[in-house]
Amino acid sequence: MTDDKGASNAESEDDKELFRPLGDYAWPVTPIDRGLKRLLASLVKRFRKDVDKDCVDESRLVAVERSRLDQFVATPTSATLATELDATLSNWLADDSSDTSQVGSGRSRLQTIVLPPCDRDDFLRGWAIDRGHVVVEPPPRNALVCPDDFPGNGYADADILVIPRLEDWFLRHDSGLAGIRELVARLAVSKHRWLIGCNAWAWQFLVKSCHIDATLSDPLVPAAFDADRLRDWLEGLSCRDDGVKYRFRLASSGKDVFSNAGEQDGANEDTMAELAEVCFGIPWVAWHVWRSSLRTTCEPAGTGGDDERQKTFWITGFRHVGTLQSLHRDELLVLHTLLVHGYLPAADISRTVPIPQYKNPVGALVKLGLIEEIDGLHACVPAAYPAIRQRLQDAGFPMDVL
Amino acid sequence: MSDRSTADENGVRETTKLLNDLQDIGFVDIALILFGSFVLLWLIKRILPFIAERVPSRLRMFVLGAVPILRLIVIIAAIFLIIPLVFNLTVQNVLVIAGAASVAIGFAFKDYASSLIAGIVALFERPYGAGDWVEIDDDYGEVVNVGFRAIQLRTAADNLVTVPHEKIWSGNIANANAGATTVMCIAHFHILPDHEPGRIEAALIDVALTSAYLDYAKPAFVILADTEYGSHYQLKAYPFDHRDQFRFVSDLTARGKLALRKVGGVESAANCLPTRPKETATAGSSAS
Repeated sequence: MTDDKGASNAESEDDKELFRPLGDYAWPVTPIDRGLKRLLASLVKRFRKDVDKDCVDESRLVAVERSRLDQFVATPTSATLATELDATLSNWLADDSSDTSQVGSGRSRLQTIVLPPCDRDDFLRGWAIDRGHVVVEPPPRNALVCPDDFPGNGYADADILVIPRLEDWFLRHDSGLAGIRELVARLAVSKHRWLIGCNAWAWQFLVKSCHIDATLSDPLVPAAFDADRLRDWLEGLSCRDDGVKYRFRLASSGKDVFSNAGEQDGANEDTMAELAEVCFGIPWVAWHVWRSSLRTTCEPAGTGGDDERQKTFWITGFRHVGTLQSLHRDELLVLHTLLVHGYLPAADISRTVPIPQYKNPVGALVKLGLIEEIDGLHACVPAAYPAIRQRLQDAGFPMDVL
Repeated sequence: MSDRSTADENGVRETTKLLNDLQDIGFVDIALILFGSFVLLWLIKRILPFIAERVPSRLRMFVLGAVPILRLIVIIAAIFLIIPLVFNLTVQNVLVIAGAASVAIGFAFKDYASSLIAGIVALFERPYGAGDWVEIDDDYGEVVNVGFRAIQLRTAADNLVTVPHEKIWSGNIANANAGATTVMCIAHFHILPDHEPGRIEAALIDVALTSAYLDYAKPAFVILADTEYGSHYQLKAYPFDHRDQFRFVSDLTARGKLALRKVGGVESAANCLPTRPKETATAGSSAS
């Protein structure tokens, strides 16, 4: 019995690091006792007159410049996720028997990965290029509503073909679905093995509009990054061999986030659990939120215990500052379409959302720091994604499923 | 013997006395109860709808639905608190009060009483509730207030229509969403008969599927019928929030017209229809 339990635990530990079926995503949640403790702490802090000597006055803190952030919170390499994807697909990748004879045999030549939104680093593309797989590029945006120009075959020699972002293959417009339907029809009879990535918001839309799950069945989702995984990951990102020790302390209590849990009354556990919950366990969102939460004192070096060998950064909080309650329906519609498509130029936003000409919701959202423009394409700001998702959910919008 | 008869007479007098003695009536208590009740009623009427507009969409109908029930509870509690302060409650007196009230109400406030009773019945039968989209007679709108005597509808033309509850006794009440957060919307298109129905249907379905307002959990479909004015297409779909229904229908209609042209559909001169469909959620979108 004990052995069975042990084996089961070991098995669940292994499962934790593998991609899992869509719908099995373990959304990080705060246990009730921890939530109550957090609420109590915030109330005590609000009404307490005396200031904890370890706290820092948040009005003295300033945001860290981007160049400095890049030094000690390096761009994530997604190595952890890539390793997990390798492990998940090891059998599928090794099985090269899925040739022409496999069409209709029931063995899947099509493998779908549904990913959370705001993946700025294009994880699946990077993974495919690193492993030498052929990446199939989407048609140009202006061809999405003109399927006659849709790219044809031309990958006869390739073994595994990868479409990193299926959301680049359609436009939520009555003329913008022909292309992806053509693609799905070709995939269904293709003799190649295909690995297809799709954003979770786009997936829900495509299930509704194209019944894509009938062809791309059994999609997988990555395992959520819980508190432990986030701590290991973010701590690893901040480790540098330049001889400088970086400390990450909570502005509210002064406790060190990356110290041992036993020494700090579980401060790091609690902080990382909150980060995991706020970011829904999405690593790239967590990375952006983590960076945006960091502050530094505006005092010169040498004060506050900092010197050339030690730098302290203060964590002010992970929740999005400012309310999204005041956003109008048009602005919410724009946020939703951007989540469905990932990136959109302004012209395509107005194609997918019925915005009155006299309104400028895109400009308002840029001003609020909820969306940003990158090379002429608009996208939701990853650090604002938790607040955006919550607001859309409250407003009753169709949501993503992981 | 004489003492006993005096006591009996006092007892009978005490029993038949309807009202308490003036000096025994707690006017301050009554005033406080009335004031407290009015404050509570005002708070319920103002604050709950305010909260309902700010809570998640899925909770809105629940919060709005609690308004009339809470108001009824407050009124009943106030009545039960005040009556013993004013009346000398015995079985005999209760029967006298009830009889007198019945006669007075029967003659003077028949319709008012009918509406009040219908309002209480409506709380339990729920032919409508706050936040529902209902059509009563020719008025279609959202129930924005459920009072004791009447409900108020906010129509698409932003008119506030007051409808007494007694309509539930005799009239038909069409409830488009019945507490749900969505409502079926229909966009109408009249096409000249010379066309390919399959292409038209596919184009219209895509119009619905790509609408920014679409509720993914509900179906979208097209119904075709030949009429004397041409082929009548009804595009039926659901928005994720019933408050968007008119914008949704406008979106379907505007984009549907363009999509029809692309696939060779020619709209008939349906503006000349002798009877236009009624302006409801299920017909307000006539492309004709």
